[in-house]
Amino acid sequence: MGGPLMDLYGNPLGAVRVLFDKSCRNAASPRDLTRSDWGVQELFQTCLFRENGHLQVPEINSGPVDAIPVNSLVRFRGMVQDMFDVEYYIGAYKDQGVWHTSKYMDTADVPSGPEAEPQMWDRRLFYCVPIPGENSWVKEPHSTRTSTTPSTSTMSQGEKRGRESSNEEESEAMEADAPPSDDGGDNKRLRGDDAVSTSQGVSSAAPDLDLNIPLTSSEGKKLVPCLVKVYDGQDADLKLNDVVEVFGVLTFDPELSATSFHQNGVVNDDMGVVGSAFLDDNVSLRLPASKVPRLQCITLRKISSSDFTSQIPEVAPTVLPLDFAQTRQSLLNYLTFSLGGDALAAEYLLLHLLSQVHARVDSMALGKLSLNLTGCNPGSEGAPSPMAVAAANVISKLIPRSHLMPLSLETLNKAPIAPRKDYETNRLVTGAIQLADGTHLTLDETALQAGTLGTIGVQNLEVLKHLLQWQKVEYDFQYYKMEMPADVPVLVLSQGKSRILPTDVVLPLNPSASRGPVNITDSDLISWRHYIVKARAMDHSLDESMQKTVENDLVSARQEDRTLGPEIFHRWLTMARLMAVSYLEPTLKPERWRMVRELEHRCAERLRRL
Amino acid sequence: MPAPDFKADRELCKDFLRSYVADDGSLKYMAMLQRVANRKLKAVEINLGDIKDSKDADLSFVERIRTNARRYVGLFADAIDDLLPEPNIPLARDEDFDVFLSQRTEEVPDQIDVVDPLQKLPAEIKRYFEVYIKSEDKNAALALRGVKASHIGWLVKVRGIITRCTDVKPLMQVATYTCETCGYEIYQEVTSRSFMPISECPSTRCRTNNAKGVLSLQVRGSKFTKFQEAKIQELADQVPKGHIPRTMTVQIRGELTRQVGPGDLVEISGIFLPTPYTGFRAMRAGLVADTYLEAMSITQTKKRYDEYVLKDVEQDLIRELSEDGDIYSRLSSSIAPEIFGHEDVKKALLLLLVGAPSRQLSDGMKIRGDVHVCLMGDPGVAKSQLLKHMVSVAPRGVYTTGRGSSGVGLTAAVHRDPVTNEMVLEGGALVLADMGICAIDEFDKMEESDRTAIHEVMEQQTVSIAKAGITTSLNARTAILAAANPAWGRYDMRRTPAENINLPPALLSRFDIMWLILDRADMDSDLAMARHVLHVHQFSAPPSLDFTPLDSSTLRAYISSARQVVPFVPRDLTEYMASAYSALRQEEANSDAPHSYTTARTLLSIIRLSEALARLRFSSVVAQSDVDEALRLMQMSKFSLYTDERKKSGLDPISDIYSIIRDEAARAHTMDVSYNSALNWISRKGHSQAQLKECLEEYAALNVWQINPTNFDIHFVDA
Repeated sequence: MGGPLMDLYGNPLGAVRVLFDKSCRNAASPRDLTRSDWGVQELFQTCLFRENGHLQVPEINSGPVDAIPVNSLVRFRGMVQDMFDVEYYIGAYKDQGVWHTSKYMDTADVPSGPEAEPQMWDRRLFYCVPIPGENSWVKEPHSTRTSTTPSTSTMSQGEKRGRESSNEEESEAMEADAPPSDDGGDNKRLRGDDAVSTSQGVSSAAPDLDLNIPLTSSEGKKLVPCLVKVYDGQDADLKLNDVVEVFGVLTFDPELSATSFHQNGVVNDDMGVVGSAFLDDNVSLRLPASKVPRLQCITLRKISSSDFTSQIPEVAPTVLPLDFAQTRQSLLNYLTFSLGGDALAAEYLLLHLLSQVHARVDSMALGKLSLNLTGCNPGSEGAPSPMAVAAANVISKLIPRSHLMPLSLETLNKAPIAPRKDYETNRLVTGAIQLADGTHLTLDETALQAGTLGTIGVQNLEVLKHLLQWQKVEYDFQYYKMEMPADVPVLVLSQGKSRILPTDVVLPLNPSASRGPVNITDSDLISWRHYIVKARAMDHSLDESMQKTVENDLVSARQEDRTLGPEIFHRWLTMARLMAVSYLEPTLKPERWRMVRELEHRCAERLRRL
Repeated sequence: MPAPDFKADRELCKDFLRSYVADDGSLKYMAMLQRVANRKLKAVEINLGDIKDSKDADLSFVERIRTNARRYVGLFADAIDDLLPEPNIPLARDEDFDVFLSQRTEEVPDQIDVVDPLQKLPAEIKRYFEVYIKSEDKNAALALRGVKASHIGWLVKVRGIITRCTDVKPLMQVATYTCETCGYEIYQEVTSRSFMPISECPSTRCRTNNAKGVLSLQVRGSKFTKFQEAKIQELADQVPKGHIPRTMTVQIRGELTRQVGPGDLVEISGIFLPTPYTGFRAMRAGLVADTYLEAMSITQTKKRYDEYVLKDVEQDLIRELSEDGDIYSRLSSSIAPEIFGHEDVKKALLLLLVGAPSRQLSDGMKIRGDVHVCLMGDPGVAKSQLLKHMVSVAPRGVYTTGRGSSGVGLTAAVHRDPVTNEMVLEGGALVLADMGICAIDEFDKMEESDRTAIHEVMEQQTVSIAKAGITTSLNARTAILAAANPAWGRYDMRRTPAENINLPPALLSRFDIMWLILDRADMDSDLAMARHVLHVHQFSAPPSLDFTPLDSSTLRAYISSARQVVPFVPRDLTEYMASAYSALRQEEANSDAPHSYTTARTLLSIIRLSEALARLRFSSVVAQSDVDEALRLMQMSKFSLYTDERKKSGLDPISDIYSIIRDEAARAHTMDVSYNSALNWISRKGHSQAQLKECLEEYAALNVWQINPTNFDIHFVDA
C-alpha cells in the first residue's frame, strides 16, 4: 500500500477525484451522487488507522499553518466549541459535459450558465478550538512527531518529557495569573496579521474578532482554532464539547478570505446604517483564514480523555495488572506527600481523581465525587494558595486535561463563565467552563476576599453551584437556556468549609510532615497515568449478597443518625464504587465497603473536631 | 422529467381560482379577488390544502407548486391579473398609485415601437395585491434541521423562535427611470436585495440616435414593498442533546411584515431559497451560497390550554381514561412519579393544574378560579423538584425564585429601551405565566416590593403599574405554586406553625392549600430510601414503579380537556357546604389556640377545589363526593401542619428558653450570646440550668446556633 498511501497524504483531492469519477460512471442522475461518499471515507480510514498511519499526517495544532502545503492531508485535535449553520455549496457541476466535484474544496472554477447544472449540497460547519486545559505531556507526543521522524527512540523521548515535567511546575504556576498579558500579546498578533492580509482599511473589524478559545493558556498564541467542514452526516453523533481528531484537507485561499473580509467592509461603507441593520452574519466569512484555517473533514474520530494512551506505545498496558496494587500504593504515597502528609486526604483525592459521571438517573449525575479540602491558606499578595498550586500541579501530571481557577472577585466579576449565544455575531461566546468531558477543575476559593459580587459574579457562582450539584452547565440562549451535560470533576480548596460551593465531600486538611523534594521518575508518572485510565475504564457491579449487606448497613446507620439523607447514601455508594475500581476489582467486596465507611468515619471525626 | 408547461399550469391556476368552492359553498377565491379589486384586501393567500381538496385535484400540480413555489407565486399573480373583476364599490382615485397608473396606461398605446422589454410596463407595478402560497394546515412543521439542501426552492413549514429582526424598510420592486433625452419611462424589475441601476437609456430612439440618454431614477414612480428580515432559531425541544440550535434567515415582505418580534414563537411557511450573490461577492465568494426562507405565511404559536388542539388519538385516550374509576389517583400519582409518596400533596397539585372556572359577577366582581398552593418544608424534601416538574407539565409554566432571576422581578418593571430611548413595560414572571401556572421557589425570601404586589396578583389576578408615566394593569391570571422554607431553616416542631411560617397571615389566607412536607423518621421509609439509592447505583436506573405513570403529554391533554368543563354547584349542595364551613368556624372558635384563620376565603377554596374535582370527572355538576374530598384535602393539609403540635398547648420549657435567648439577642443586635448571660436570663424566668443545656443541644442539632465546646457560648447561625 506504499504507493497510494503517499498519494493520500500529499494529494488527497486527487484520490477523491478518482473515486468520484468512478462513481460518476455508475450514476444515472446527479442525484445519485449524493447517496454515498464514493468510498472516500473507507479508503482513507483503512490507510489511516492501520499501522498507525495517522501519525504520519502532519498535525496543525501547534501551527504554524503556513509551513504546510495547501490541499494536503492534515490532522487536527480540538474540541467542538460552536456549531455554525449549514453551509450550502455547489458540490458538483458540469464542465464541457463532464461532471466535476468541488466537494472538500472552497473554490473551484464553476463555469457560469445553465449547462453547468450546479448541484447544491450541504455540509456542516464546526468551530473547533484547541482542547482547553490539555496538559503539555499529552500534547508533547503529538507535536514531536510532526517535527521529528516517527522513529524517535524511546529513550530520547523519555528524557525529553523528563525535562518538560521539571519545567511544568513553573508554567503551571504562571498559568493562573498570566492570562492578561497573554491576551495582549494575542491581540497584537491579530492586528499585525490583519494589516498584512487586508490592506483595505478594515482593521476596525479586527478587535471584534474573538477566537472564542476557552481558557486562554500561556500557550494560547501558538494554538489555532479551526473551522471544520463535515460532510455526509459524519457529524451525526458529534456533540458540543466533544474532543475530536479530524483528518482533512487543509484549504487556504488567502484571496477568498481577504475579499470576503473586504466585502463586509464595503457593505458597511456603502449602505451605512442600512447595511448594518441587515442580518448579514455569515460567520464563516468573517473569520479570516489566516487566523482560522479551514479544514475539509474527510474522516474524524472522537477521542476521550483516556485516549492519550494510544499515543504512547512505549508502555504496554499489559504490564499493569501484575503490580497495580503497588502502583496504587505508590500513587497514594505521592498524593500523601503532595498534600503535606495527609494520608486520609490522599485517599479521598485518589477516589476523586477516579470519579466520573457514569450514568444519569432522573436529574442526578451518578459517579461524581466533588471534593472540598478545607484548611488551605491563601497565598500572599493575591497569589494563588500554595496548596492549590501544589494540588493543581499534581493533578496536571496525572490527568490529561486540567485547569486551576482562582475564585477571586475579579475573575468572577470579569466575564460570564458559562457560554452564551451572541445573536449579534451569531456565535456561541465561550466561557471558562466550556470544558470537554473529563477535564479536571480545581477551584481556589482562598483567593476570594470580601467585596461585592456583581450580577455576573453572582451568576457565575450559580453556574458553578449547578455544575457541582448536577454536573450540568446552562448555556444562555437568551430566549431560553439549554442544559448541557458536563463531566468535570471539581476540587475546591478553601480555608473553611465552602459555604458557596456545595461539594459532595468536605474534608479538613491535616498536614503532618513537612514538605520535602519529591522524587518521582518518569516511569512512575507513566504507570500512574495508565493506572488511572485503567481504573476509570473498569466496570463495576454489586452482587445480591453485598446488596443486602449494604442495605442493612444503610438502614441501621440512618436509625442511629437521623441527619443521614439520601445524598450521603449516594456518596457512600459512589465512593464504594470508586474504591473497588481503584483496586481494579469488578465487584464490590465487603472489605472495600468497610474501608469506605472507615474513611467516612474518620472524615466525620475531623469535621467534628473543628 | 419533462419540462413543466408553465402556460398550461397558469390555466390550471386560473381554473382553480375561478372554481374553488369552500366548505360554506362560496367561491372563496373569487370573493377574495373582489375584495382585492375593491382595495379592501392586499394579501391573497392561496392554501395548498385547498388546491388538494378542489374537486378535480391534480396531485402532481400540487407537488409542482410545492417544489417550485417561487415560480408559481408569479403564475398565480399572472392568473389573478387576468381574473381580477371590476370594483363593485366606488373607489377614491386620488392616490399617487392611480395617477401614475392612469398616466402609464394612456402612454403605452403611443409607443408602438416598443420592443425592448425594459420599456414595457411590468405587470408587477400595476398590482395592488400580493400573492402568498401557504402550505397545508395539516402538515406538521419541520424543525430547522429538517430542512436540507434538497429542499431548495420548496415550500416548507418550520417552527421556531424569532431571535432577531430588523426594522421594516422599503424594498424596491420595480425601479422606474425617465430618460432625459427621449423622455421615455424605463422599468426595471428588482428581484433581489440589491440591484445594478441602469445608466444608459435602452430605448430604440436613444439607441438609434446613439444619444446615450441619461436615466434618472424616479422614486415616486417606482414600486416599493415593505421588507423585513428576521432570524428564526430552533426551539430547545427540537435540538438533540449536546447540539447548538440552528438558525435561518427569514425574509418577510409586504403584508407579512411587522408580525413578529424577538422572542415570538412562530410557525412560518415559506420558500427555501438560495441568495443570489450580487456584485463583487458573486465573483469571489466561491462555491458557497447563503440561503433564506421567503415567508409566505406566519402564525404565532402560543400554547395555552384553550388553544390546545387535541389529536384524535389523544381524544380516544382521554375518553378511555375518564372511564377509569380511579382516574383521580392515577393522574395525581403521575405527577413527579419519581418522587416517593406524598399522595395527598400530589392530589392538591393536580387540582392546581385543573383549577376551577373563574367567574365574573354581573356587578363586575371577579372571582378567581385558580387554585393557589403553598408547600413548606425542610430543605431537601424535593420541593423544588416538585415545582420544576409541575412547570414542565403545565402548557404554560414559569419557574422562578422569590428573588427573581432577572431584574424585572416577579411582577413588572418599566425600562428605558437602550435603542429607542423609550420607556417600555416588561412583564415579570407572574405576567408571563398569565393563563398558566407560576412556580415560585423560596417564596419566603421574596423582595418587599414583590410581596406587596403579590397580594393583588393572588386575589385580583392583575398587576398594576404606576411608574414613569405608565399607569396600567396587566393580567396575571395565574395559579401560584409557592415553596417556602420554615423560618429557621428547619421546621421547629415545638413552635406554632404561624411562627415557623415566615409569612404574614394576609398572604397565607390567599392560599387555598398550605402543605407542610416533613422529613419524618420511620423504618419503612428509611428502608425504601436505602433500596432506592442502591438500585440507582446498581443498575444506573431508577427502580421501576409499581404502576405505569401517564406521560406528561397525556396528562397535559387530559387536563386541558378537563378545563373545558364549567361545573356548577347544585342548590342542595350549597346547604351542605355552608354547614361544613360553619362547623369549621365553630371548631376554631372553640379552640383556645386557633391555628388558622377560617374566613370567607376558606369557603371559596372549598368551592374551587370541589369544582376542580368535578372537572376531573368531566361532570358539569359538583357532587357531594367532590365536596367531601375537598374538605378531606383541606383537613389533611391542616394535619400536616399540626400533627405533633396538637397535643401541646403552650410552649414547653425548651422552646421557651430558646425564645428568651433569641429575643434577648435580638434586642442587643448581636449574634453571640455568652453562656453566663443566657443563664441569667433564663433563671429569671424560672428555668433550670439543665434545661438550658438541653435546649442548647437541641437547637444546635437543628443548626440554629453553634455552641462553643469549651465555654458553651452561643453563636447564632446566620440563616
